[in-house]
Amino acid sequence: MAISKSSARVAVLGVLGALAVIMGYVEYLIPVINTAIPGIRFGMANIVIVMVLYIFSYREALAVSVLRLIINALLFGNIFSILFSLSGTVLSLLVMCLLKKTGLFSMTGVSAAGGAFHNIGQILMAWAISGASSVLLYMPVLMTAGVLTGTFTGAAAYIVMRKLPWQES
Amino acid sequence: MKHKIIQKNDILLISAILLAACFLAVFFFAKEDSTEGAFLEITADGELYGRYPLNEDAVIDINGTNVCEISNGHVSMIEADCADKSCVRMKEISFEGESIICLPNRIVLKITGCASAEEGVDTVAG
Ligand SMILES: [Zn+2]
Repeated sequence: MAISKSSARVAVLGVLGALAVIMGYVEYLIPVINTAIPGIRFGMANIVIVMVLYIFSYREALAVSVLRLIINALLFGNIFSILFSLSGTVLSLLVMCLLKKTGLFSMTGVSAAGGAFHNIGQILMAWAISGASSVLLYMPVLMTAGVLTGTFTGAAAYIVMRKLPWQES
Repeated sequence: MKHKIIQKNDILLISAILLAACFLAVFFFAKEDSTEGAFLEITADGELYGRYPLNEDAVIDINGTNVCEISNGHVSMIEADCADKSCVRMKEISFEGESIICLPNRIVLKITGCASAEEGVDTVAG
């Protein structure tokens, strides 16, 4: 079934939004590999964001990810990290949305590219803020990390989606 | 669902991004290795004779006994009045830490990294 009733949409988005916040918290509990750039993490919340992108559209996915970033930053993080996360999230969503539209890739591929561009966005933001081109040196390793984590979160999202009654939009 | 968990296109996409990351890494690595910011440090009789940027070609006379040349970021001893001439025969140097030594004349040519590391200029932010 597709989600058509607006009350159902609100309810499902609320649940998924809450789940994204929890994922952000779970991730906060996991020790991070030292990347020297704030805000770069595994991307657990991406599992939920990809699901929202597929169940609804990029607009809902953007709303959920921005809201969850703000809530997570207020609850567990610092405000400064929002800038980094936001740049990554927006670029990542843009890329995922475009790739999804081509119809060529599965959730895993879409999410893998999203993971890479999430980190690219953060590095570009770090570059813009610090003006130090040396942060670009992190690009290769963080792109690789982003692709790998994105592949895992995308596959996880696929597995969860299969168990859900809602179809891809 | 329209797609499988992973299919050929996804693997191609993931490989393409990994390949792009590799290219970037090679590009950055090559840039790091370039002569930009590297110096030729000449020591004579245990004292610093001079530092010369590797990215400027030059022919340097050292105490009238040796002549070395910087060309395209590579350094070689082109003339020496020492007996064995082993310094002239040595392979040209270009990487940080490499050196050419003329033992009889007590002259050492050594490539050092960016000046910033020692002089504190251009510190990395972030
Ligand atoms: Zn010699």
